[in-house]
Amino acid sequence: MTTGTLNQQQLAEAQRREMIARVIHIVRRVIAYSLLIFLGFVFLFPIIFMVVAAFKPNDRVIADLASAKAFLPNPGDLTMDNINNVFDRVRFGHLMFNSLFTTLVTVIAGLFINSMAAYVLARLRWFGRTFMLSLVVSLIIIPLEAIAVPLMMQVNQMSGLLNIVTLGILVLLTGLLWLIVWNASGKFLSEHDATRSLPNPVINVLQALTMVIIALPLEVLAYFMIGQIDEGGSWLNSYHVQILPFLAEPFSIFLFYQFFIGIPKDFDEAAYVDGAGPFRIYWQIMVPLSRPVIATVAILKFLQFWSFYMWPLMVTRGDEYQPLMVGMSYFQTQAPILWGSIMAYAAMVTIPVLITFLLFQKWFVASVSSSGVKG
Amino acid sequence: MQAFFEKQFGGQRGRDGLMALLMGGPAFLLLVIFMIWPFIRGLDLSTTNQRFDGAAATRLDPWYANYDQILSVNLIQLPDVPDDVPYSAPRAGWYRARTPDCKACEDEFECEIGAEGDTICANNCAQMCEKGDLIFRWRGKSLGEVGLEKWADYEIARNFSLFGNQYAIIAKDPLFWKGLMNNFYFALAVVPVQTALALLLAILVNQKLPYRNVFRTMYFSPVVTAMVIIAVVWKFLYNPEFGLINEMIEFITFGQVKGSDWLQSSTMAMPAIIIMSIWQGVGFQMIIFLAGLQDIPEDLYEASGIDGANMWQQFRFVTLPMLRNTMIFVVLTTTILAFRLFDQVNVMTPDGGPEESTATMVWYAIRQGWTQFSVGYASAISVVFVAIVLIISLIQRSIVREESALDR
Repeated sequence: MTTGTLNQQQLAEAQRREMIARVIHIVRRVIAYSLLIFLGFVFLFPIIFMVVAAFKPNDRVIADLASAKAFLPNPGDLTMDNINNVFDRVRFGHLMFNSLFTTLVTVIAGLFINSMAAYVLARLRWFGRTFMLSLVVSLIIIPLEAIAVPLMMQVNQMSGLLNIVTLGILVLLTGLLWLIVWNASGKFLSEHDATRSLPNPVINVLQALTMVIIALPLEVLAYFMIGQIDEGGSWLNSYHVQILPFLAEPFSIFLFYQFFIGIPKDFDEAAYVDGAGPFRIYWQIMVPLSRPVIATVAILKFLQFWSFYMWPLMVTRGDEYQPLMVGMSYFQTQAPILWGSIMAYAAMVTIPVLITFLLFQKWFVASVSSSGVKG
Repeated sequence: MQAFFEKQFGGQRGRDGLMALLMGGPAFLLLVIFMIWPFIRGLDLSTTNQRFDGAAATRLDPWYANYDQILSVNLIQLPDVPDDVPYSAPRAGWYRARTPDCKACEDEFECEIGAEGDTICANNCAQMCEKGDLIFRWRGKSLGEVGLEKWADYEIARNFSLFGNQYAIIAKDPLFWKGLMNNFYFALAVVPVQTALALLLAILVNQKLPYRNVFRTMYFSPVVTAMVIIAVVWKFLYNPEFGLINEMIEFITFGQVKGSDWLQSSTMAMPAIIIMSIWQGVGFQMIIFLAGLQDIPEDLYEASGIDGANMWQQFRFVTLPMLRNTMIFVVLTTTILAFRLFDQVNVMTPDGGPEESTATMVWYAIRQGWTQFSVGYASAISVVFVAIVLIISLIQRSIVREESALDR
């Protein structure tokens, strides 16, 4: 009897404890979530405000500021005026093309150049390798800001020799891309059911077409560059002045180098025994194995060059070659200053990137964390 | 000699050498052309009076004249002469002597340049009075009269009184020092606060809560938004009259706390830029800390839990030591980034802010070299900037090395 009541007491006690634990658990969850949500608001409110203001009439943007309406679209007066106004006042599409073109060429051609350099440093034995490696590592510390002014001086008066060398590098890159695309498309076309039976000349024409189309950005760049060099020595106000100085980057080389030395040497030795040369080993073994580091470098460089501001500001005039970030100043300096239009422009620049980020956020996060852990 | 070439370019090694040249050549050549050579040229240009418009430059005499102009700074005691200047001297402490024209203008309009609330004089005589010759005066006396003729090239960067004496920090180029100090101010505020906040956020989103990835994404989204865009939006938010930030401050405190002038006030402009920069950058650091946190083995927490450690002790004795390398990386990169501060400053306060309160070293170098075409002088500022960045990272690295030596 006594034990029974004791048991009942114990049971009640246990239930009570469980209740308390549950309440504590819920309270902690509530606190944690309210903190998380509050912080989420802190981090998102300027972006929400920007997007909402982009769709409001100009006078409402300021009138709504005093209340929570600043974050809410008014169903009554949603308007596309601001966006139309952006298109009226600047060549938005052209600015967008400039930004995309310079950013994508810098990122993709940069991936090539830097990973090849890293492979050369990590795997090949050649005179001066250790010196070059330490040079690259020590260059990481030199920020662009430190050389911007002399670099501007230099690109303004490029000597003939430097023009030829840089153009040569661009041509070499284009040729390399042609070679790769030629081989890959040849392999694809001769194996694919639909095209296998085609006669050889037709396949070759198709190969050449894909080659020219895929390498189009580099070809366009080379075309512009030749035209500008022909006109005079200055590189100012062009696409290549925004691209070529930033293709090779010590930090990217370093990230690739670190990844490559982690790949077991057995892989390339096996390929070497099979008769593969250094370029084939690089292209067919190292590159497919290094997808994570390619994504890392691509995303970090994309973020850096999409928001690139100081250098384009210094070397471009007028909207012919200016990227979006520099074009923004037009709305801030030319009357009338309409905050609705400014917010619309900001939103139109930001939203595509935000959507890309949301789609590939796992890659973004992975790239950022791997830039830190190893650095 | 032949043996050397044989060794470098013959056989397997030779083929490697050739491929190294072909594959690595583009990157190494570009690095030389666009990084190393401009750097060396910058060293050379910094000793000249080169201008961007292409006018012939001459080597300065002495060659370090630019550096002398940038780096000359001194602390002097100001002589205690009676102040017989009828109006408050300009900010710079010693001021340009009034020319007869200026004096005549003041007499004509019966006003005083610099007197508070005197707009007549400002409107009519300001320009005339500005064109005074460059002889500085201190309290109505020419510098020679009070024994300061040595410092005629200098301007007062800041003056203060200590034990009843007037002292002044004087520099040949006060704006450079102002920029350097602003950089330190920015770094000293941003580095600790951003690192601590990032760690806090990382711990918060590392809890095993459903939907934590949603919050991680939210906190990271400012990082993928371009700094220029953010700066423009925040410039609007910081507006003293109708800015959202002031409205929110007044709303939250029920109107008890009045908002600030932010970018238009010399004391709040830098904090405004600091807050925005932390807001933008903290997500990046959070992700790096998150990776560090997830590398800590779970057993360490279990073991310390069994030993009776509470949450704070676990954080102090497990989390922090295990995050040491991550912490070092974050602090190093944030510090270097702080000294490269330019974009936000140039967008939000293109003229360097009220009383140059947001001018930074890089901003100043770009202004000299790009806006004012003084490439030689700007190159010298850039060289000093690199030297400062190098010194800071060397100091940080040596501290790190000492600590890891202690650990062993």
